[in-house]
Amino acid sequence: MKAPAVRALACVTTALFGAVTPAHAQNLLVKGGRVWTETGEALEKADVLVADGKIAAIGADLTAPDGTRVLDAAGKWVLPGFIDARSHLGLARGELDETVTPLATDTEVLDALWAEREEVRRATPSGVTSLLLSPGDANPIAGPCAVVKLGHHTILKRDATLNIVLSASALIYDRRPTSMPGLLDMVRQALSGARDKPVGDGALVKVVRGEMPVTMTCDGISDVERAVQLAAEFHARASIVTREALDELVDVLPGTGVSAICPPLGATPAERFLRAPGRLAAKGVKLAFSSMAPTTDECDLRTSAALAAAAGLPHDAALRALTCDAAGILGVGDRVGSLQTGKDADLVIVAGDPLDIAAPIECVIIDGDIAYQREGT
Amino acid sequence: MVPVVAALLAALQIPGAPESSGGPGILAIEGARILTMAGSPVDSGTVLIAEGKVKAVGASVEVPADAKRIDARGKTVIPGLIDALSRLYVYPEELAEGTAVAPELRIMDGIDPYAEHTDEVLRHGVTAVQIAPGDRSLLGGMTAVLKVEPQTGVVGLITDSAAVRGQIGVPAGDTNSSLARLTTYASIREALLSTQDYLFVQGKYDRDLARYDKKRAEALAKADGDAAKAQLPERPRKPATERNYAVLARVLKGELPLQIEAHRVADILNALRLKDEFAVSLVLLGCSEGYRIPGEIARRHVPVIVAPVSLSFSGPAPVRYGEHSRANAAVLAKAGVKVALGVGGTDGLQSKFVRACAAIAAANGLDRDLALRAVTANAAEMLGVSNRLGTIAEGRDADLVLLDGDPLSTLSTVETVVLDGAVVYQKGGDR
Amino acid sequence: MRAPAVRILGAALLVTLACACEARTDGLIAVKAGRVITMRGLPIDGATVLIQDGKIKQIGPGAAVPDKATVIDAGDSVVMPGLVDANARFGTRGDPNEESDELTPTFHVAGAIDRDSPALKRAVQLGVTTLRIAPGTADVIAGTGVIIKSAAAGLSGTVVRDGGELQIVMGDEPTYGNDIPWYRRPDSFYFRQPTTRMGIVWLLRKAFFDTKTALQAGTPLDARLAGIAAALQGKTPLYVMLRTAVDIETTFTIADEFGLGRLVLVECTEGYKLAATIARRRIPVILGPCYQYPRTWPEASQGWDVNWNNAGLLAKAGVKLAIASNDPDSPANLLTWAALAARAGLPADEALKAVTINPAEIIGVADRVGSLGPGKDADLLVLSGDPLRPTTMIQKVIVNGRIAFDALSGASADG
Repeated sequence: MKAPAVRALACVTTALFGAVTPAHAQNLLVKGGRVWTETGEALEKADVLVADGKIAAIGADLTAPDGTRVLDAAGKWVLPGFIDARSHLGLARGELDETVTPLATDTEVLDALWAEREEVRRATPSGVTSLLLSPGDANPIAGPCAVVKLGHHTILKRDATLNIVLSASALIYDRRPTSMPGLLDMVRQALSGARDKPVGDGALVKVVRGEMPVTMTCDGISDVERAVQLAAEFHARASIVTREALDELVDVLPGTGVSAICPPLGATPAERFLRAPGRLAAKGVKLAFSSMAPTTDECDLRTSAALAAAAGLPHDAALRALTCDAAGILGVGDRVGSLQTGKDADLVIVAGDPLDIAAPIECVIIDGDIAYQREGT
Repeated sequence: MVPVVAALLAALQIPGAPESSGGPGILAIEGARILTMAGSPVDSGTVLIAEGKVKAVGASVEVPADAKRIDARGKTVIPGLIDALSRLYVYPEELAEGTAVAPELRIMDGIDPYAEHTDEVLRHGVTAVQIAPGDRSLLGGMTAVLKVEPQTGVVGLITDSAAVRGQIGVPAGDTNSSLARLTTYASIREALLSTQDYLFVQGKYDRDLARYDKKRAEALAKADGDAAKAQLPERPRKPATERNYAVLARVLKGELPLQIEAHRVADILNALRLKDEFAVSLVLLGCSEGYRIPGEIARRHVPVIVAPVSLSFSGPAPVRYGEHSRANAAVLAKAGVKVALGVGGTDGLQSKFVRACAAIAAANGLDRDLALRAVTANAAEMLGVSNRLGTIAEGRDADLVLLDGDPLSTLSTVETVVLDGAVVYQKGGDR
Repeated sequence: MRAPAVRILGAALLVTLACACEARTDGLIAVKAGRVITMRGLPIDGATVLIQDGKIKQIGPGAAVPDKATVIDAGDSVVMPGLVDANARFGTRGDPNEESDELTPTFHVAGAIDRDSPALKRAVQLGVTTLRIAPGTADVIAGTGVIIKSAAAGLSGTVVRDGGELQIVMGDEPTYGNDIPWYRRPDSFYFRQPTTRMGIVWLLRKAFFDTKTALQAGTPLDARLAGIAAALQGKTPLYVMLRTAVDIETTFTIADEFGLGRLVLVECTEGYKLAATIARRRIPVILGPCYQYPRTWPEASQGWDVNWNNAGLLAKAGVKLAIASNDPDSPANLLTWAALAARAGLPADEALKAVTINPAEIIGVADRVGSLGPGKDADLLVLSGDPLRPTTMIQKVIVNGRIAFDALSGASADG
């Protein structure tokens, strides 16, 4: 393709991504709600002032400048927007993996995003405000993954995490690797190379320097053990994604510093899976929830959190897993995940306790804009 | 050690712990808020149970002296929940029966009575499920309604022929083949038309037989009872009895409901046309895009089992559900359609999420009372088992759930489950 | 006087609970048996095996049983060391070969261990407490195996030793699939050598030659060549998977060519034909699987001459041999196979050694397993009688001092 055309294409792509945060129409004052903070303390009847897309102030009886739109949150809970730790929302269905090269590092998943706006728009009422856009599990190493915001679909963090897949899904016929040891060998060599002979500033180099967290997809508990060993060997910040071994993670993760990303719990009905998040939290393992959308098509984290809470995950631990702990795992805790002045104005207003899924979400604010408002409110 | 512990507990008098929880004796649940689903709720009342049935329910009920009493002050009592579309007890292979039209098959013949973890479903307050043959067939067979039993190996059958299950456009929906969808509708129509022919032939035989009997009697009378001399008429030949037509005949007469699973607007409309043409007792199953044509469904008084309420439980296959919306049940109910809810998952254990489904429907606009009704009384009515399940009323099965809060809230916990008058689950107890 | 009564009751409760907990810990356990076969000298009658923290503390008729010990009274039973399977091909998940290359010296089968594997649970019930999982046989240079316990807690508790040997495959198994069938793309990595035995030998020679050249030139070795170098220099043993006498002789030719001194032959179906030579070269042999028929394949296709007394003839010539399962995805009833070998001509005591101390010595873990003595791992079997009798029952299997399988209760401890 000729150079000018490439540049034009790049401009169009950037415009689609909305790399620049759009200007905001007005300031907002979310008034009189029950503001949940990650310490577990809730501020009763507190106000949150939003200006220029950021949280300007939190407190009782705040005065707002003229032209501020007031949202009455009396009797409602106000929380940080939920963070989806693993999603494919917006990726074309057949384009989740670049499978010709098994080590697809430095293949930015953002480049496969063709922002199916309909799908994205339908996701905003879920309360999810940021999500990790991830490729599929067909490559041993793939990424980097980006954290994007819903709403205007802006990029929160471009090179957020890297995927390492230690599961049979990465063993594709007629391509290296064909076996788990071969896969481990490949991954280990790639990581060793990045550690011993680093070239440039690629994703793998950032991982071994501890600057970029990795998400490790695993099948069985033995895969999880190998993943934890690998993370320790290369001093990587890691979190584990698994469905099959979810109930056994509590035997392996505590004390290792490795976090766990729960799959949609509505699809894993056995009690031992529903109890797993509670048992992990009791042993100090950090958790986040994921929707794996559009597999579930709804970015529904609240149901997972509610089911986990009903099975023993403490109330505040569940809310932390939806917000600040997920932000920490993805490395975006400086911008989102908690209601603090200076952070992005991503808020959810719920007509009741967020873990009571019968309580509807009234309003979702992303970067200070109202992205969703329930009819009749 | 056990008697010591029992004595200690008795001494401490923990409220809500029954002294003895077995047997079909007399049980009284007292002081609770009772949502009977049959009339107004009782703010503080008693349910009296004897021999597995509800004997009385109300604000002031006389409790015999020898009754076991459960102190349920501060609790809410609801009827046992019903999952109107469940895979509990069904072998996955049974769902793949590929014969196109086989209404005489019964899903009861393909269940696994040793299904594991049914007690987990019971502990979430779900006491009955409807199971159905798979969606591979056009008319797959008859559905069944079962109790959820706490022990493996026990089957609590309510009915093995609740309805005939059919589908229009469902597996074809995975591939989006319009030709396949047309064929399914045409085939069901074909089957019903053939049944009408069959009934016509049967009816003609019945009339011919009656005429023959009459003529034979006349001929014999003419010959003074001498059969050898009489000019006897020829006996009409009996047409072959076909089992599947016999079943569909009951459908045509409205005796057996026809549950058609259809998700997309075109398929739903086709199902409704079946009712227009054949006057069957139609129940729509699934009906994911029903919110786009609520009027069409309402004016024909067709009830709907909405399933899945949320794709969080159904897993992948978004294509077949079309434009799924969690507000579906709410829109249909507002238009006057009677609505029940089914979890619609791929795993039988997902039936435990019935309460969560009702909560999601309520969060998306379904009236809270209707949401609870959708998983109790309405479901029982649509399944034809309301004489036994779905409400707390005299004569009904004593299947009850005690919760420590609002039944629709996922923050409330199920504390006690009563099945057929016996306490089968007590939170914190030995069950 | 309610309060003191409650206190006493409470104390009694605590003691009962404490005792219940004690039985579950791997603290002090005493196994009283009718006969203890230690595989180090003569069996001891009427002895007690004292176990502490997963290791054997003491064995003897006079061994004092501390008060706190949990006693397993095995009555007249026979206690013997847990069986050692020197060449197992189960306990993994997925492909045990990295098929993208024929030379995979860095392939560690440890990466495929699946602790949830049902085959491992069966192995425990069959009395196998230690096993060496071998890599697959589809590649010429297959890689390294891993030695694990069949029942232990966690990956770190399970693995005894990862690697430490290099396995190569002679014969014709590596040639399978290396062709272009009509349904495969021509750029598939299966279009490669070897397709014949000479191809296999060529690849081996090249690999050894390249390694030798690099070693002599002093150039730094990449990971691949480093894996081969250790075997070339005799630092680690070279396991050779083969069946026919022809392949054995070819192996000897290559060994002499490259000075390969530490060989172990695996499967070795026709080993009996060269028993004297194998013995003279002091090469240990791991036999298996157990062939049901004297001739398993038509001569035209494979030509394996199976002799049921392969083990007996090798032992008679002085070869150290082990009997292993060597059956893909399937653990073996090693005691039965040992008994069958004895029926065919292997002396009974040799047969018992072939599934305990010999495989432990061959794979290099005899300091821990394969025999019973102070300081060794507490891996033992409690049997109802003579181990080689077909009606003998394996009553209990103890691994690392914990009961991993109890046949009479049907219970198996997890992990």
